[in-house]
This record gives sequence, C-alpha cells and structure tokens, in this order.
Amino acid sequence: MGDWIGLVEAEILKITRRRLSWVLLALLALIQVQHARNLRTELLDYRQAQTTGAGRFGQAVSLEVAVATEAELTRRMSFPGFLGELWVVTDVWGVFALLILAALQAGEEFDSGTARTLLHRGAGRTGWPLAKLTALLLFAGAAWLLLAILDLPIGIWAQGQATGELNLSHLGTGRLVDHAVQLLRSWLGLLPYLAFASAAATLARGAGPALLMGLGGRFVELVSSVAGAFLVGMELSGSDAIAGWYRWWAPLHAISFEWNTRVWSTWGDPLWGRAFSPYPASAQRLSLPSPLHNDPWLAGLVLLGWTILWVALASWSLRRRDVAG
Amino acid sequence: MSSEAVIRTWDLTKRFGPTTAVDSLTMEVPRGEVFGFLGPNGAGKTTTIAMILGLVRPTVGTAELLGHDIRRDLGPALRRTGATIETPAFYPYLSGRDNLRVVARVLGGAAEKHIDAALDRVGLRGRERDPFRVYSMGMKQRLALAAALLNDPELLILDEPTNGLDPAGIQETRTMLRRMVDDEGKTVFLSSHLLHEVQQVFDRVLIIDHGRVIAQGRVDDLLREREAIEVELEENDVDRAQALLRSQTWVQSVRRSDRRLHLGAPPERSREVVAVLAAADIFPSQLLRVSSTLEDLFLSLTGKENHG
Repeated sequence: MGDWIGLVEAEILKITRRRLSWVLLALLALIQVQHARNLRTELLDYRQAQTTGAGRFGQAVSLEVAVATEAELTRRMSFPGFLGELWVVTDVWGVFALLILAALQAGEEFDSGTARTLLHRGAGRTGWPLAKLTALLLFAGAAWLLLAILDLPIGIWAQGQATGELNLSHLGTGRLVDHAVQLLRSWLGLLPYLAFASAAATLARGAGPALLMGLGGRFVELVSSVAGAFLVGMELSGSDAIAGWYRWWAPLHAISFEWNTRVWSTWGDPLWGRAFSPYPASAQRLSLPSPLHNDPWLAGLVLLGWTILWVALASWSLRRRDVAG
Repeated sequence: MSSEAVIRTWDLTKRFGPTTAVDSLTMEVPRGEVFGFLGPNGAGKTTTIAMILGLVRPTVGTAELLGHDIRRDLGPALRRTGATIETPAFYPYLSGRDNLRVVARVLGGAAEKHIDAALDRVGLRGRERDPFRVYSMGMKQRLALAAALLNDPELLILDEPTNGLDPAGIQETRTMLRRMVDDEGKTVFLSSHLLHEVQQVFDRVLIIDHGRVIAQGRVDDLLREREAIEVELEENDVDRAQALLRSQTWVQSVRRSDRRLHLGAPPERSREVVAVLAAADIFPSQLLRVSSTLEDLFLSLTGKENHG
C-alpha cells in the first residue's frame, strides 16, 4: 500500500509540475467568468424586453415570459445559485480538459520512454494505472473545488448586476450542502472518462491516439445526445421517416458515459439545472421512454463497470505486451 | 563459474516476427564482479536486458534475477536492482531532481533520502534544478546513473552507460563502477560496444553477435589466447624459420606476412623463439611481443576486423 501511495504522489508531482494543468484550469476559470457575463447580457435583454416587447434579435417576447425569465436568471446569478452554473463548465469543458490531461499523463510514458524507466524500477502493472487514475481524480477534485470557490466572487458580482445589491442573507447552509453533494457526484462521474483516456494511451502506446479517441469519443457522445433529442422528438410526433431509429439509439446511449454521468450527477434528474443542454426544451420534462433509465444507482454501477474495464485493459496491456522504445 | 549468480538465463530467446533478436542465450553473471555484456549494435544486448528486467517477454526460455524468476516473481528483485536501459528516458518538463523524486517514490522506502548522495556521486550537483529537456546527452546519462543508484542496489544493470559521456566522464564512471564492486561488494552488469573505453573495468565478458553467444570467460583468459609473437627476418631466412617454428609444440600457428612471421604463442616464449632460430644460424632483426585488446578480440570474433 505504501508503494502505491508513492506512485500516486509521483503522479501528483507530475500533474502539478506540468504547465498545461494550470493552463487548462485557468481556461476553465475564464469560461466561468465569461458564462457569468453571458448571463448578465441575457438578463439585460429580458429586462429591456419587458418595456419594448422585443428580444435581442428583435423577436417578440411576451411580458410574462420576460418577467419569468428575468426571475430565473436572477436566481441563477447569485451565490450559491451560481454554483449550479458550475456544471456548464465542468460537465462540458471540464471533461474535455481532463481528457486532454489524462491522455497526456498516460501517453507521455510511451512518448518519452519513461514507461520503461518506471516499470523496471518496480511500478506495478495494475497499481500504476490505478495510481494515475487516483492522481487525476484528486487533481480534478481540487480543480472543481477551486472553481467552486471562484464562484463566490463571481456569484456576488453577478448578483450585484442582477439585483443591484450585495445581499448574502439568503445564503443558506442547506443549499450549499446540496451544491456540494452535486459537486461531489459530478467529480466522481469523471472516473470513466479519466480511465478511458488513460487506457487508450496505454493501449495505443502514446498520447496522440488517446487524445484523438478521448476528445473524439466525447464529441461523438455530445452529438449523440443531440441526435437522441431529435429522435425522441420524431418518435413522439409519430414520424414515419425515421421510425424505430430511437429504439436503436436508446440502448446504446443508455450505457454511454454521457447519459450515466448525467443521471448520476443529477441523481436521477438528468434534465436538472442545465443552462446548456443538448436536449431540447430543458425546462420541459420529456417523458423518456424505456430503455433510457433514470436510476442513479444503476448509473453509478455502469460508470464503475466502465472504469474497472478500462483500468483492467490498461493493466493487461502493461502485463502482456512488450514495453520498448 | 561461481555458484552464486545474480543473473541466470536459460535458452533465453526473443523473436520479433521473422527476426530472432536473441537466440538461446544461456549465461550466468557471478556476484561481486564487473561483467561486460558486449556486442555490436543490433546484437541483442538491449533486448536481453529488457527481458531480464521484465520489459520484454521472452519467446522461449527463462531467466532469474537475484534468484527470482522473471516470469513470476520479478518485483522483489527489481527493488534490489538499479538499471539503465537504452537512451535515458525522463520527464522533459521536470528538473533532474524532480525526476529523481518520481523514481524515488516508485521505489518507496528511503530512496528519496539518497537523492543528494546520488547527485553528488554522478557529478550533477548544481544542475539538478534545470529541466531535463535542456540536459546534454552526458548529463542525461549521469541522471540515469543517479536514478539507478537511488535504492543502493546490490546489482547494477547498465546499458551503454558511457554513450555521450566526455572522456573525463567515462574515466569517472569507470572508477566509480570499479569502486562499487571492490569496496561495496556490488555487482555490475554492463553492456557496451565502446570497448576501448571500458575494457579496464571488466572482470569477465560475454560477447554476442546476431543474438548468439560467440565468446565468454574471464578477460585475462580470453586475451591470453590472443597473445602472439611477431618476428622480422632477413628475406632468405623466412622459409627456414617458418618451418622450424612450426615444428615447435608450443607454437599454435605461424602466419607469414612478407618478411614477418606472426606466431600464435605466449609472449613469455620469446627467449625460446630466439634460441630456436639462433641454433639454426637465423638471427631476427626484430622481435615483438604482441598483446591483444578486448577490441581486437571483439572485432575478430564479430568478423569486423577489415571494416575498422
């Protein structure tokens, strides 16, 4: 166990010394700030729409919609309400950033030849991939925490923009705990992504293919979500043109990282609190037909299964294949 | 050979598709010596070391490292071994010291406490905070050696450790390795193709070419077999002298080259050569004791004499 902790420490040392780790974190922070600015612009538009009856692009906006939207935006532009917006960053951009980091962290061992340097010093063939995963997860946890802390000044600024006052009286412990729990779940939901990128680098013996597979896979997942939303719509409208396609898509999507992390991190409420959702009408609850499940425990099991599978494949690759170069 | 071997291989073979990199290699490396593992580039040295260290799986055969089977139980042996293999490979964005910290954490235990001593020993003090990517080849080799020394190993396996070192660095490495064996009781298994640089340090060598063993034994014994006497004579005496010397039982071979005779005989027989020739009224104009080097032996065995 002591040796394994040493491996984790070595991996953490590498992550923290890598400039790109901090560059990616800074980019995520910038996206957070930009997101708050975007919300402010949207808020001002809807405020103006209440007097002019027109939205930003001149489209007609009813007074009821403008008032309701302004209220919703004001709720989101506060602290801890703004913590809910963190998922925009973590679930979309954060996953991309960590896929890059995981692919590099595992792939460099083969690109630089350090795999042989550490393996012949006794790094375990299973312990090492697990240590990498643990170190990446710990870094991600620290990054998520830093971003959440950054939400305090951003949220206060946004609240000032929305209400014209800096009132923290509504800052209740209960809401903070809710957000913290969701942050924790979202963080654990990263496991299969990190395991996949690491395993891809180990199997392909380099960072390049792992980056391609990791980022490409994530992109395909997101496109698949949008396609799924489209297919749901077609299915519900009874369109004959692509009748039945949803029934092919749904079982595949049901075991995807995307769907299960969503069910897991929102605890069975996959359309909850999405400012940016690939699904249409995020405010409207779609009646999702089977076999897309909404069970968070099942989602957790699926994610754990994926994680174990990828770690096992990386371990198999290190045990059974020559390490040269 | 000593019964206490730190490395043993039995019919160790590695094939990459149709190419046989190592072919039925059987060897024993005795404890407490500097063992030279020699061969030209592409002879199979690195593949052999990679198999012994568990990085490459043997196609056939097996090996033991410090008494542990490399297929089943290599971990404990690796913790008592220090090794460098191929070009030194470290994290380019980490400093030399941080790279050693990474290796130390993999090794566990007290390895991290040995970092300063290892840096001193290989002469990297003062440059240990520079990133690895700016190191010269010689500095990279020194860092690899420092990493190999971190766990105070009883066995050092070094793959071409003098590549890229300047003459002073080679001299320092030689002295350091010799001291480790003589004063600290360690064993050094060293592969190289730069024989003139490391010949002095070896106790025993094994030479491979095309994956096969072509010679092995104590360096003194192997070189003694190659020692010779060269005699220069008057033109008229050469034929008679050749016949006379050929008839001596202690002369293994006689080779003529113009007015010179090259005798396959121990140099300490020089006086007898003179006596035999003088008895027949033949007086050599010159007589040379020819001692062989490991490089001569290596080149003759690997058939590369004519290519320099």
